[in-house]
Amino acid sequence: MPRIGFVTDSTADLDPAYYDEHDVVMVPLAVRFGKESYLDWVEMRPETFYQALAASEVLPKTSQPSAQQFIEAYDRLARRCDSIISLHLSAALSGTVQSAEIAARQADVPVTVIDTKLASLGIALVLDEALKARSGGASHDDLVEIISRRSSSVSTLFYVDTLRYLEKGGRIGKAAALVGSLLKIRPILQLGEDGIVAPYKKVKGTQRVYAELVQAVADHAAGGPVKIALVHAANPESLQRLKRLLDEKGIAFDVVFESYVGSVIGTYLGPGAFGLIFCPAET
Amino acid sequence: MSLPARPPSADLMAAGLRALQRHEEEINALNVFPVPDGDTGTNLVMTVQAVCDQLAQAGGGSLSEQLNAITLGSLMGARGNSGVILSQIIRGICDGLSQAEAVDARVVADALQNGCRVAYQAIRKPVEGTMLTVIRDAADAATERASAKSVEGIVNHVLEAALREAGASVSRTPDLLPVLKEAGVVDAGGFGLVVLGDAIVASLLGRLEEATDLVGATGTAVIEPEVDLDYRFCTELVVRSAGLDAERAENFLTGIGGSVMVASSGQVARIHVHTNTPWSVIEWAAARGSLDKVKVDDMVAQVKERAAAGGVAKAQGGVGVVAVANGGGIEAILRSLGVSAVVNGGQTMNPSAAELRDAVDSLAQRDVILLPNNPNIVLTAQQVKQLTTKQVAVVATRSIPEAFAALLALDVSVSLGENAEAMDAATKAVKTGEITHAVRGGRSGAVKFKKADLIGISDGKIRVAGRKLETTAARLVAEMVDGEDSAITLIFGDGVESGEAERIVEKVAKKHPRLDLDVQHGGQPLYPLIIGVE
Repeated sequence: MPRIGFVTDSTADLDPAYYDEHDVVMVPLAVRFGKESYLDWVEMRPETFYQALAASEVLPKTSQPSAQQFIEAYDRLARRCDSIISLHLSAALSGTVQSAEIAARQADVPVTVIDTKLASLGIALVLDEALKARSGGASHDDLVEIISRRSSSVSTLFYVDTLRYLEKGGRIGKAAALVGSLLKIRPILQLGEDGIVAPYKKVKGTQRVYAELVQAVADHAAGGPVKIALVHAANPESLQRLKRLLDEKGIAFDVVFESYVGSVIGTYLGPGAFGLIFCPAET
Repeated sequence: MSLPARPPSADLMAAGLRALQRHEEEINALNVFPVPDGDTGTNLVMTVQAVCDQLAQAGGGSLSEQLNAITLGSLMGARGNSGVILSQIIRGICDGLSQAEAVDARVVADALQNGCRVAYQAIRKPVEGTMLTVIRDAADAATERASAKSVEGIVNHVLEAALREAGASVSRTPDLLPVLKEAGVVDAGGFGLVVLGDAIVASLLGRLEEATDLVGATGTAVIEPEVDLDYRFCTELVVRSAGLDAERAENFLTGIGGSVMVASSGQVARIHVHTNTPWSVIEWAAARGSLDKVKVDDMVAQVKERAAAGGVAKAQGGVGVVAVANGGGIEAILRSLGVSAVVNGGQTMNPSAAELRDAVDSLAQRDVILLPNNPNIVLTAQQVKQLTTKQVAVVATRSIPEAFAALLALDVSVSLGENAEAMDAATKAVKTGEITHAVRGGRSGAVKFKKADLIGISDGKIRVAGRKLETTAARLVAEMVDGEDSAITLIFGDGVESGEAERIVEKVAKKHPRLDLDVQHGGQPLYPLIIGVE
């Protein structure tokens, strides 16, 4: 049976232990405070990051992995695999896919680079399903098909305390229209089908934020079971509240992952943000 | 007379690229022909970027090597109609220059003529009032000047004459192409060509650029978000083939689409077509050679996306909003939420239908939402529909908090009807409270009040009365809030002292700790406090 290697990047926001356990090579992006650069999740844990963010006078910057990092990852896997699938953060948000594509051209085995058009645990949800399919003996082409199909079935909704981080970081996308409101509004954002940040709803009051998020899952689930991943930027209470409300709504959901937002994605969301990522439970 | 000390061609093209990048959005905004997809500026930038990349890769060399690199770069990088035409103009000019032993005025003029000839040949159905007209007028002006038998005929003057005429030609494009005139713009590609040429000549001769002076007013395109395209997919690819017949390629492409362009140079041909069957183009080309740079854009999606993203369409297409309000703070908030025109008015000064109509007509948008923000103005607002040729929808907001709630549901990328429906539904989610002075004494239910007392009104009824704003406000808020609510907005009026406002905010925050509190200075007359609860 052909052996298929998996590569992803650190913005899947999974703990590095996950990658070891599941035989996935993770290529980290980096976050920079001034001149100091740290590898996302590897050298900069989220717990530390949000403290550093609060203490720092300048906003951190992030950098995509170099093509060289991917070349090394692909070389390492090429010694024991017949082909490689490399799935990554939305190309509309980062040049990571580009670095991967450059490296893929000179790899010793065939590499398929996939722009999931997702971020954070959205990538993780898709990766997790692909890994199960790999264990089940799926072929390279089958896996690529599964990843592409599942990527487009994942919805990403998130709340930010302030649009400042997205705006300063140049990732605000179509939500730019929300900036400048004199009224105190709570923006709920989405990662669109094109992998670009866009407004989902503008509401007043935190309670409405939760109500809208839970309603979105209910509408989407249409009675069927859903897979859910929950992320937060130093706001763990938000996840407890979301789970309680989903329960109360009578939605059949399975929380596959729960995590901090890592330092790279966190650079653009800012502290207090949280996200609800979901897809139909079965294909 | 030869050219002045010449910087390497890479510097000239880099200057051209920078100028195009500076004008990119402006050029995008002009784009109405052949498809109003607003990407002409971007396409020209990408095309010239590819030229610069190719020059960098070639790394200098003889003049003819550099000219070859420019030709190859523009052909490989050409994007969109305008990019392909530009690549052909560039190719013609470079061919013309490379055949000359020394560059003089005559050679420059002939090279421009050659650029014009090659571009016309590459286009299946040349249309006047476009880049083609501009390059032809420029080339003719150059030829005329080059024949002058005096100092007038030197290279500098030939180039400047060509540029001036190109600028004038761009200003004439609306007379030649009705779609430009209707939209009130000059041709985007033609303007881009002048920007590029001006920057290159300026860099060559060491003077300042002045592209906008050359053309004068360019206008801004009015792009309707509704899309009606004969062909949906802009399809482009490069095919490498030993024996590709350009004419047969054109015949095939004309059979399946429009805006056909085939630009070939030796064994490389670049194909551009608008079609509903992009796959058939790829299939056809793949059968004849190897493919590169295959690109299929869904133009319907592009136009919609632009409308959604704002940009060009936001200003004119989309939905505009007119609101009635009183008070500087309220007006500023309304504008920050997407209102384009505010008509002064309210409880004691209702605006006339004509005033509302004038505000509606003053907007660039054809679809307009009208927010009366007072029950007494709703009927007047409804009348506006009969007084204007614009499409008007009245969302019957009865208060400022309802207007704020409605505006949070505004989405300029969807239709007037959808907006009116969503905004109307949003107003139902908010409760309004207003505090004002009683003009006479009386009672309402259990509430008794004297003339000049403060009364708190909510849902059409007087709920509380009192002498002090602080206590009256706190009691009215308490009357309004129930378990479902999550946010309170306090809008303070003209003349409320900041100390008093702070005490009220503190009191409300303490009483309702679970709710989000938003405090605004509205500056409205007659109502010391307006309250929104949702």
